[in-house]
Amino acid sequence: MDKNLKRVQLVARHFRELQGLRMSLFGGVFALAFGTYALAPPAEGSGGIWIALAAALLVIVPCQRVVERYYESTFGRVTPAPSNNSSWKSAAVLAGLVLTGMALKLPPLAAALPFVVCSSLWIVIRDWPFRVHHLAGVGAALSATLLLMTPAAVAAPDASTAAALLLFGVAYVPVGLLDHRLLVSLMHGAPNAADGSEREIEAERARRN
Amino acid sequence: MPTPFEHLSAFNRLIHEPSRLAILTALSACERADFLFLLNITGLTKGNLSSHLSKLEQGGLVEIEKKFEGKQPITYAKLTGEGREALKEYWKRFDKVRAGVRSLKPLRTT
Repeated sequence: MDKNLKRVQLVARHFRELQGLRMSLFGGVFALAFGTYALAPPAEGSGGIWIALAAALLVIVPCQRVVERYYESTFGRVTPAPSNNSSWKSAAVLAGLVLTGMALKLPPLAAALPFVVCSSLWIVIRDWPFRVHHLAGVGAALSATLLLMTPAAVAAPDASTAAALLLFGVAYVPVGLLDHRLLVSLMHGAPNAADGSEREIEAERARRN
Repeated sequence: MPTPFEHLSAFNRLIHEPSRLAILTALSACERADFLFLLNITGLTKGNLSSHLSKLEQGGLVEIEKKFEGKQPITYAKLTGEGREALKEYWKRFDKVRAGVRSLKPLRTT
């Protein structure tokens, strides 16, 4: 299979995953919410961390829809193949790890860290050499593990969890932006692309908006 | 045993065209894709993409579905079972040609 067909296959297969602005939004809001938490930390055990998490999710959910609309109107729509739609499987594995961690009296975040490391490494290997930037996710997860293992983290679990989530937020903003840049470059790498086709793509986008 | 050239002549002409092969490759990697996505990924003009999709639909390799999402008309293309089989067969034949050509030895003229 030639380079152009590999490009086509990669984009069609992982179209949703490559929509990096979703991840950047997630990372940005997490960084903002837990950055604010770190600047003005409430008392340990007051439930402030859950309020910060709920506030972040309240912002993320409606904004995700806006980002989705942007991708639909700019790049089009793809329904993933059932065999390739792994989001529910990933969610199930993640939930299983968190529940196991809770049963072993581990903090939920600590239980989720192996999942982040494995899934990030899997993305790097599967899409080599396009998505090496996902190693930042591995870096963030390993740093968060070290952070959660310090004696200070044991004494202040809420503050350390917030710091770990801030770390993830900061790491995933550039990862998402690089995925988005990859999608744009792969989409515009068609050998047939000419000025005429670019104009028609713009007209089709305008019709949709 | 057929020669690489016999394999080459037996290629499905409907698939053995760069733009149509790109469309079919994209559709084989997903459940279905819309017209704008195919326009973006192939870099074809609207007219050319329509024409290729029509040919693929007439050949029974692709199924076209037109529907409204809200007030927006969306055209989806989907690979049929026959299309998936034909594409698989195409790549099998392609690999045979490649292997056959590799095994050819140049003639000595002196």
